[in-house]
Amino acid sequence: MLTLVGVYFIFIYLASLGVLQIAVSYVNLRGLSFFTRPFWGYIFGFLAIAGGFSWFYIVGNPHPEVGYAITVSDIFRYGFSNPMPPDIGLIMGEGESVFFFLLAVGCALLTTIIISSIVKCRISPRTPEEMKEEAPEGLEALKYMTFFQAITRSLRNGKGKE
Amino acid sequence: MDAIISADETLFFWINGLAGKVPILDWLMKLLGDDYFIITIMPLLLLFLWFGFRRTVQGETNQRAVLCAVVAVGLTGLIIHFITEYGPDRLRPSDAYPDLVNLLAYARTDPSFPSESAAVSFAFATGVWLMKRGRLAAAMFLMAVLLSFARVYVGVHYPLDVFAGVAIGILASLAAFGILRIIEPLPTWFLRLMRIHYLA
Repeated sequence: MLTLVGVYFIFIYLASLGVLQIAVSYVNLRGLSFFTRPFWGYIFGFLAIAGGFSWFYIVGNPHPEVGYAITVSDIFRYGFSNPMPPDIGLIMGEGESVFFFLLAVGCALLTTIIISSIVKCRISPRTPEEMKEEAPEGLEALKYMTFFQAITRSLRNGKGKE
Repeated sequence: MDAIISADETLFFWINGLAGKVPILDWLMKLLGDDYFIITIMPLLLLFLWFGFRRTVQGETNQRAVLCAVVAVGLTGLIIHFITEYGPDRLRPSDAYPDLVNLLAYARTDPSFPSESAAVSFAFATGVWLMKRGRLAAAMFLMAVLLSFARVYVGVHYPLDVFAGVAIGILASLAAFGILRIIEPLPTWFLRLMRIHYLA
């Protein structure tokens, strides 16, 4: 059985994955989407968010009646899973919530980048001629290419300039 | 001071007295007043705000709103930590009046004053509103108000704790807004760095 921290991490991870897919579908950032049609991005997003919240509130039992605050060092010491020493509590402090929230969002973003870059590896990035007419920067570039393609392109352009 | 405390407790018992009468309302308030529900939805909305824009100008405004909200929440955490460490150690309603309070949540052991949930939720909402006034900020304010009310309804805070939390959240957001202006061009450089790496 997972501790609250593990349950919380999975909850935020799933919900963040869902929010990211809804956001990229809304903006039509093809290079970050798992799907070719935004409709499926919305469906996936809502299911992931609903799944995350259901997991936390139905499966996870977020409020065991324990009054200790678990610390990050405890988690690194004892790991995510039970059995844990009986004096190690299951309620997170504020700092731990923030830490695991950011960690889960970071993992969700990394997952989004990796999966979309693999699934969409056949997107043909814009040619240099096309880019001269309208050279998108930042996230907007991901409307036309995947994250990995964009990073590779930047590295190449950087080398070219040198 | 006694008069304020007395009025605060009267208001608390009036709101908390509503609990236990309508099961569906109790269920809803337990959910809204939960430590993780609205407090999790708000940063997820910030995540949407960061990525969900259709024009570059709109995107920069969104991302500055996210930065402001994040700094505001950080400041709120510091202020709350300081107050709980050195401020009044007010007992939770369920500890002060164990037989009179309808406690719908688990019993907390930390001080009641001020309400951290109210402070953090208002810091999120105000932080966004200061940079980007729109439906999303309005929805966040509505969520913050519901969360604050629910905390009293479920019996974990007095209204005064919540009002103090709201004030702290709003003041911290105003301070964050000022700090981001003072330290300019750092936020601009940060956003530019993120844009270079295709993350903004």
